[in-house]
Amino acid sequence: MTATFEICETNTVSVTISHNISDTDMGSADSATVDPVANPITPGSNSFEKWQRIHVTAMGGSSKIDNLQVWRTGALGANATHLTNARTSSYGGAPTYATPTASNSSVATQTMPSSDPGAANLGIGGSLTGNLTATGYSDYLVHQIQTTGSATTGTTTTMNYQYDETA
Amino acid sequence: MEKRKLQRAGLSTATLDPKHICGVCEQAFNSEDEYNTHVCPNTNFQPTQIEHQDALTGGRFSAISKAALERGAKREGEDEHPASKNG
Repeated sequence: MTATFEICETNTVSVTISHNISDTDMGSADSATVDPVANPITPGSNSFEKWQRIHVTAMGGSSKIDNLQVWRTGALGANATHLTNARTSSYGGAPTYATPTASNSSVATQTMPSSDPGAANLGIGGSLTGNLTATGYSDYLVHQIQTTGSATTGTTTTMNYQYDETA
Repeated sequence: MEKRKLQRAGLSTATLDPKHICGVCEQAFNSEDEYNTHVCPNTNFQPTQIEHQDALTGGRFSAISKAALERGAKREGEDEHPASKNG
């Protein structure tokens, strides 16, 4: 037996948690299932922030989960940047959930890594060296797409989530 | 303010009770425990069972878990036998 994981997303002022999301839709509406075609990001504007967590639903006999690493592979459309709170140094601790905004995020302020960061960049319990020894959640991964007025059509990319597990 | 007082005042209790939605079958639950223990009709397993994730990923989740365990074991080994700083 091994631990069981899922990615969860929290939305809206009423704190709706969507468990086990299969993809991340970035658009101009605050929803885990936003249709980016119907709700596109206007050039010069931002997507709504995404507030997501890694959720350990069962430890499966393992003793520890740690070393969370998050990155995106694949290129964005032109004149767009992907920002996040994930970082390997100067980590800002666990952000407290706030209703996602399409204004410039005050939490997601560093470029999302485009390759394996090689070290933890998402914390547990507010620390990059934190760990889970029972079911629970990581810190929030906050991320947002920001565009300029020259932005072109968006693309589909891959979000990567990695963890270490100790038996 | 307590939930009951909020309800008496006609205010929303939503911020006190997050709504949990299964992203697979889209059922809504009032608590995380209810979510964790439901048998998802799309997989016939609970979210806490590895078979649930395997059903959703075509069996890849078990491979992901195995790789995570290997990384964890490697790090444990490094902690127990740290490389000599003197070479």
